[in-house]
Amino acid sequence: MTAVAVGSVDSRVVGRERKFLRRARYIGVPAAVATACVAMYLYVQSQELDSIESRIINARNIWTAAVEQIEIALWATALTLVVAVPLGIALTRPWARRVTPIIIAVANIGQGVPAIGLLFFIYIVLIRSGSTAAILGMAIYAVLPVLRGTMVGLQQVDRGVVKAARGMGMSKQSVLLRVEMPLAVPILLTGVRTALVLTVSTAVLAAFIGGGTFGELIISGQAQGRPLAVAVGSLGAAALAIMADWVGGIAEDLLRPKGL
Amino acid sequence: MQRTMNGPRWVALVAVLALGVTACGGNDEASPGTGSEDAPSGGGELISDQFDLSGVEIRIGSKDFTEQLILGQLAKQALEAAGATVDLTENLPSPAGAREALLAGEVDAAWEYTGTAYINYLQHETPIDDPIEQYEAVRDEDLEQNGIFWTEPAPFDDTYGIATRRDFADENGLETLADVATFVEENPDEATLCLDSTFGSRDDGLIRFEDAYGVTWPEDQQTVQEFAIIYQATADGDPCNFGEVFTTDGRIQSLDLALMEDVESAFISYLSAVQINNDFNEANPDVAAVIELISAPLDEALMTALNAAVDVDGEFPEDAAAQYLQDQGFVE
Repeated sequence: MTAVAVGSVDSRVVGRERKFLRRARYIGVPAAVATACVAMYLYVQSQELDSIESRIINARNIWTAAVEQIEIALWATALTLVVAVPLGIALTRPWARRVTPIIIAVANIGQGVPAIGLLFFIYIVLIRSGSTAAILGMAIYAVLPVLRGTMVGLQQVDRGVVKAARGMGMSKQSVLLRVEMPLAVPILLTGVRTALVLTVSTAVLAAFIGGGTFGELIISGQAQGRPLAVAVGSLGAAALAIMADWVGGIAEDLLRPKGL
Repeated sequence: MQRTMNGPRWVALVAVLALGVTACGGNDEASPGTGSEDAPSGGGELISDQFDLSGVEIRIGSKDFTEQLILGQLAKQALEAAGATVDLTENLPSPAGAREALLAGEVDAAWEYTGTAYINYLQHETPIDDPIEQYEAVRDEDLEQNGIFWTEPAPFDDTYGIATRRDFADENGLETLADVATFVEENPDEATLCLDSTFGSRDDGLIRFEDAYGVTWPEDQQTVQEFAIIYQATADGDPCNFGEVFTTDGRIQSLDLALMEDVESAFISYLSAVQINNDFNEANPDVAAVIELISAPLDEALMTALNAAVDVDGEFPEDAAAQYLQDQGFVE
C-alpha cells in the first residue's frame, strides 16, 4: 500500500518535472534563437558595411532567403511524407516482404549519393528550375529516414496486440488504422521531424543551382572574402533548422496519442 | 535530439562542396585547336639555356578551375625546365584558397588575377579602370602590406562578359552590351540572366554593366547559380537567355555562345601574374624571371585556346601546358 502511494507521488513529481522541462524547451529554444538573431542584428548594425557587404546583407535578401529556404523545406517535407509514409506502410505488410529490401536499397542510394551531386544531376538533366530541382532533391534525400521511421514504427508494434485485435474480429484495415498506426505514431513523428530538419538544413545547397536560400549569402560571402555575410547566412540557416526541430518537437508532443 | 547542423560546420561543408563542383566543364564538341595554330613561332629561348635553378625547391598553388590548372602547370613545368624542384598543389578553392595558402606559408607562389586581388584581398570597393594602373596598385600595396611580390602580368585579360546563345543573338540583333541594355529595357520578360553568387554583389560585377549602359537588370529575372553550370544553361536558353561568363573560357567557343562586345569598357581587367612570397623572391629572383619569360606571349587568343583544349578537347591541363611551352620554344 505505502509502496504504491510513494510510487505514485514519485511519478507525479517526475511528471511535473517533465512538464517543466518541456515548457522550458518550448520557450527556451525560440528565446535562444531570437537572442542570437538580435545579437547578430545589433552587431551588423554596429559595423560599417562596405558596398559588397551591404549588397549581400540587407533586409530584402535575408527575407527572400528565409522564404525560399522555408518554401523548399516545406514542399520537400510534404513530398517526402506523401511518398515515404504510404510506402512504409505498404512495405511492412506481409505481402511486400520480398520487395522490401529492394526498395530500401533504392532509398539508401537516394541518401548515399552526395546531396550536391544529386542536385546538379536533377538540375542539369531533369528540371531547369533551381527551387523545383531542390525540392525534388531534398525529398529524395529525406525519404529514407521517414521510410525507416514508418517501418520501424509499425514493426515495433507488439504482435500480440495485433493478434488480439484480429481475434476481436477487427479487419486487417482497421487493425492498421486503429491499432498499428496509433502505436506507431511517436516513431513516425520522429521521422517527420528528421525530414523537416534535414530538408531545412540541406536546402542551403539550392543556392548552387539558382534556388536562393541562405546558402546564397554563405557562398557569396565566402567567395568574396566577406566573413560577416557568411556568418549572417549561417546563422539564418542554423536558426531555421533549430526552429524546424522545435516545431517538430511540439508536433510530436501534441500529436502523440494520449495515454502513450 | 536532432540538433544536426550548426553554423560553422555548414560553412565548412559548403566550402568543401564548392571545391568539388567547380573545375571540369562539358566536352560536348570535339573541335580541334590546341592553341598551337595561333601561336607565334616562338622566341626560341630555351629556359634551360638561360636559367639554372637547380637546388631551388618551390611550392606552387593553383585554384580549382581550368585556367588556373593550366597556369599552375605552366609555372611548374617551366621552373622544372630550369632545374628547380616544384611541388604543385592544385584545386585550392576559389577564389581565396590559393591566397590563404600563400599567406599561411603553405605555398611560396600562386597565380592570381589583379581584379580579384584588388577587390577581394586588398578590400577596395571601386576598381581602377586602367589595367596597368590597377596592376601597379595591387603590386605596391600587396608588397607593402603583406610581403607579397607580384611578377609582371601576362598580357591576356580574363574579364567578365555577358553571352547569349548564337541564334538568340541573331534573332534579336544582339552584338554588343549596348544592344543587351536596349533589349533588357524593351523585353524585360525575356531578359533572363544566369549569374554566379558574386557577380551581383561585387563592385566589379553586374553593377559596372548597369552603370555604364544605364540600365537596371530586373532582380526577378536573375538566377543565381554555380558558375560552372551557367554556360550550359545559357547555351540551352533554359533557364536563361543571357549568362555571365569569363571571356577566356573555352566553352564560349565550344557551346557557340555569342559574347557581347563591351563597347563602353564596363568590366575591368583581370591580368594574371604570379604572387611570390617576397622573402622567397629575394632569395631566388630567377623564379620570377622564368615566370615572366613564359607568360610574356600569353595573350587572350592563346589563353582561350589553352582553356578550350582542356574544356572542349578533353586534354589534361599538364599536356596543354607542355604543348604551349614547346610551341613557344621554351622547352624542347
